[in-house]
Amino acid sequence: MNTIVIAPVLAALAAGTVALIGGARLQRGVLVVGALLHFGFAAALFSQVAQHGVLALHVGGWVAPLGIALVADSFAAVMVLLCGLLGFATSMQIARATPEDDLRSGVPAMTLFLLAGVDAAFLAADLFHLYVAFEVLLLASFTLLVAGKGAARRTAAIRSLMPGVLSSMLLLGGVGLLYGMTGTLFMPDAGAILAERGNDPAVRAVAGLLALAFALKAAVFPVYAWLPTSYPAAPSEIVALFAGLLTKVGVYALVRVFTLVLPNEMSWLGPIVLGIACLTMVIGVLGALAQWEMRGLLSFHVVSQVGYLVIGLGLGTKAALAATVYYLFHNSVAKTGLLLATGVVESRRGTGALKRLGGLAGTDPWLAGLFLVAAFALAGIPPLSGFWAKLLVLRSALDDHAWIVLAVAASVGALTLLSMAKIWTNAFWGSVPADAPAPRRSVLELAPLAMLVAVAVALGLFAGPAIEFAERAAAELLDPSGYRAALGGGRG
Amino acid sequence: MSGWFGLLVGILAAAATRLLLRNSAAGRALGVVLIGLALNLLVFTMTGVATDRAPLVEVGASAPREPFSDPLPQALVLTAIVIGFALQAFALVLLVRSDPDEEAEA
Repeated sequence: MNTIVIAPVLAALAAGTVALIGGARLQRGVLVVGALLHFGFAAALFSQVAQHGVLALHVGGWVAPLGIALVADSFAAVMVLLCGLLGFATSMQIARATPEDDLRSGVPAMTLFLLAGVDAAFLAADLFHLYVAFEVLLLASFTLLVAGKGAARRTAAIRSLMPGVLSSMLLLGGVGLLYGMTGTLFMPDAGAILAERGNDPAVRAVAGLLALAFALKAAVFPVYAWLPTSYPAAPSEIVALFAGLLTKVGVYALVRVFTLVLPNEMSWLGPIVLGIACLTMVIGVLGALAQWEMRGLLSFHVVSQVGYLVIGLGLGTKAALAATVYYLFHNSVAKTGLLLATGVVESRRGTGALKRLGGLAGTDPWLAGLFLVAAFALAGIPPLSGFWAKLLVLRSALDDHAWIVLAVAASVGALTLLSMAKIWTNAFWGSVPADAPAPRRSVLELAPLAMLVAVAVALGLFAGPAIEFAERAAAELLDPSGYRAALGGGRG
Repeated sequence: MSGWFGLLVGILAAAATRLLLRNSAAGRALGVVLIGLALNLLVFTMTGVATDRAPLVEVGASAPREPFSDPLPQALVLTAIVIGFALQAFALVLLVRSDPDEEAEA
């Protein structure tokens, strides 16, 4: 029994349950301890998978095709590790910054449940389990969005509610149809059965349903509008959690399902995905450049970066998928770091509006330094993680002669740097506004941010082993025999 | 019988789409409920609908008597109903509590 596979999920669920019943102080403590525990188990799972390869847990001893199985291959393990890292970093900030009233709405418990749902989605080996995990994280994210006062947050929650519900329903429909066709819910088994069917319009319909469901989650071009209109209403530490994990679950599910279950459908979906990727990158970054509010700017950026992530799926080569894996990890770390920095700026100056900020580099040199490193990492300045991530993406596009993708990705990279410069010049340089509160220094406030920046730097300096692991994950995605063997007992 | 179920799924999904596109909180709330019903019915119908084929194992036997219905879609749909119910309850509370004027602006 590979119990470690389910340990992160259980740790987060258990801590979340405790957090539901406690008072304010207990809740804050449980959140941080629970997130740390979750991080620890995630790291343990990652090291197990790195050493021994694909691990599977058959819950209750029911071997596939019966029962429910959780499978951690390299891609899933690295994503769970990411969830642990970001969960811990944001939890520290959430525990510190969340007002007493919001605690009563269960913010700590919902944060932990969100982590459990995200892990469960990464580890899902059957499609229905994936659907359930999506619902868990969806409900937790809605609750986090509405927790606290203000009609703005309710409106924001409604805006993201409709796409969220619709996406779940499309997913349920796709899963139902797929079960009708294949008689199994296990992804590798269903993939093997569908491969024999060949070109079938019904399979195409299922592919379309699932692609749209995950695209809604990932917030790619035609269906992205809910994200930049709902995220900025939430406090920045919650946005940091969402930006690092929620869209990434959508991207992960796209990659997982279209490599494991429906790889043949990529022949017609591939070019569409690449087109969508380009439009997403461009529209996201242009939207970001037009924003004058830090949270709003970074929320548009989330959309833009999802474009880079799906390029790998569109190209479908090993190098391209490895680029996606590396990019996913790097981007989540950098983006969450920037949003945590935004939270610190807001708590020190009482606003995130760029026109009312200024001179932070003088009053808060440490914060400014950390922000600068995270921003450079996101924009792709060597030797930070973003440089390698963009290099991998561009190189895989070059190898595939995808010239348009290459041109768009490169120019969007320049625009990303420009948008980071916009924050930097307006918030960190310039003169301190007259109404700015007195400078306040708290090292503790910067701790989560510093942790993520350190990871981004390490990911850049030790890019070799990290890229090697990403390539291993990509190889496993393209050849799921290890996944199938770990799952065992299948019909395929 | 599956054909009729299919038709019903189509009608429900079409009605839900119409409701979801309306700019009214009540309409969208009903749309969420209806699309949930449509998809639940779809999953339920997926392996065919039949009577007198309960997948029950009789005393002394080790497997249900052939032919029997696939019990899995029923288990799935039960889970989906429960989850959908929670989601719908949440959506309803949110939509009822939200201010209609502000909604119109949005």
